[in-house]
Amino acid sequence: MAEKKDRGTRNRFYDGYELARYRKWKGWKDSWVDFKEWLVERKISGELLKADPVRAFKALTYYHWMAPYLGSGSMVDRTIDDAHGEALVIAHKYMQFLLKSNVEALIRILKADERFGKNEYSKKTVIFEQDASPILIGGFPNLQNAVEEPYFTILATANDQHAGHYFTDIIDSFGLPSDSCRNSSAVCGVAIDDQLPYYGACLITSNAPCDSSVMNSSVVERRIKIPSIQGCTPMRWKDEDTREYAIAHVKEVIKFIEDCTGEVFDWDAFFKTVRQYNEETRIQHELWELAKSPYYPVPSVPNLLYRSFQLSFSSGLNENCAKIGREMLEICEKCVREKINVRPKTRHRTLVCGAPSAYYMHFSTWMYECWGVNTVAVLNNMSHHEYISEDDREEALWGVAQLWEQAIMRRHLVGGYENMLELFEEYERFNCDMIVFYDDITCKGSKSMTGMIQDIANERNIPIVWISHDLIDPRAISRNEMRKQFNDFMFTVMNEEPLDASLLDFDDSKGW
Amino acid sequence: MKKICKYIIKFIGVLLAAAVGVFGVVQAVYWLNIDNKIMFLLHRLLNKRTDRVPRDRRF
Repeated sequence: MAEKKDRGTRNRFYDGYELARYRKWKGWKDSWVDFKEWLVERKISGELLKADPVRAFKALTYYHWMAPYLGSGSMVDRTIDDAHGEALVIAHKYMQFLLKSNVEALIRILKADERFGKNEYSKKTVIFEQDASPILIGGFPNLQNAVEEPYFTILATANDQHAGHYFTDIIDSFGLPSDSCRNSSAVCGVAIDDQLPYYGACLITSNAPCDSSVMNSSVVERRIKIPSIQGCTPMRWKDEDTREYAIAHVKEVIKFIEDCTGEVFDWDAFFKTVRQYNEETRIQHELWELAKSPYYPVPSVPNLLYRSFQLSFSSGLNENCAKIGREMLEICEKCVREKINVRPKTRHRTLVCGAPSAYYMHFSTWMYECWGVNTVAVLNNMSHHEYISEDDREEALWGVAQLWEQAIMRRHLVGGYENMLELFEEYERFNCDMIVFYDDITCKGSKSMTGMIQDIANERNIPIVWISHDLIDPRAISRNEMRKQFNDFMFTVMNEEPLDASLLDFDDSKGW
Repeated sequence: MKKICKYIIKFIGVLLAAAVGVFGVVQAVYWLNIDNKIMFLLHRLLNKRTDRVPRDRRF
């Protein structure tokens, strides 16, 4: 008789899949918290169907990028797997913000989509491309914004690892180079495959995060049948000489929205949004102060997702964002004040840099569970964190330009090599003892810096590990190959043994 | 009076049993990860469906 295969922690998962047979027992208290929050999350997910069941059904059966949202529950489970106690509450709250904002944004898109019938919402929607902040919409209270690209690519792939390469295969089959940024390629694939929703009064394209976005903008503009303008802010964003041009350009974008929609920019409403945005930013700065402590309880992945999508989902437009931030701040202050350690497995404090792989967003969860490497700071999150003037119009527009210039992934990738070298300052600031660098093999900006960063790390005796990945295509570098790179580093450079050997080598390449 | 009390107790009993039953089913769905398993199958079905939709592909 064949012996029952014992795979330790992986026993509860189906072979080859990131789908659990049963849920993890986390003790009475944590399991009860988990159950309660799970109910809340299911209710939030159900709102998409409740809002407009017919449109939701049509979208699910037409758009290839919609179906991965069925995996959002599993994605939440994966990202909070390492959380206990206060960390579990924080992780759930962050993920609920993400789920709710995601569902609300999808409802807005589906309601406005003229592919499923004419409607009044379409002409009241302004589309922002890539990771440009929609903060300007705060000045148009009668309009709504849609930042749609995260749904097609990054978030869809975070839910289902195989969602994104469906679109990159399309763009490759049209003869475009397959070594460009996979995110931009996937967006082009969505456009070419006629999977962009038909809606919007106008489109604001952008050069965020980098020049590859300009490439995908041109393809999207060809397919989308609405007026568009390039919301491009200077790449050399540290150069004060670019200020005048940047402000003039933001004014041009406002004028364009006014012309397309017939609405007038309301400065009072805009400053109200700016105040809300500043509150979100203040909370984040306070959280970073607390992150220096060994008792900082926030698990990395929910925080990374919350902070990354704060720009698209809120930027002062979503009151929930600051509300959740304040709750999190209270819990973190309590943990630091009372020295409550909810990350007891921590052996190393690490700073994570570079674009994380969308198909393996929960890599940090695995690092903690398997090796006790606790991600306390993410360089990408140190973006869009400048305050905006709350009373001076010219200064406020400069603040908007800076918000676009220093968006997620943009701040460190463009404007000079010294921006990326900020990672060594952040390493010191957060009391880290190692660096994990996500080496996106299609990101030319970060690729060009690897040698210099490695040399500096060697000079300063800082352990740094490079984790190669292909952003949204797990067929090029699988999750297990990413894990192997980290395992090799921990065995050979750090001379350490894993906390859970069953997590060293396993296959989860088939689904979700 | 006695009869009414009996009915009230019976009614409360049925309500309690129903609440316990619903709670048990929800707990079973949660612990056996049934929600995610159903979503996984549905996702696969939907992918098969969206793969077959005729589309206006052009560059």
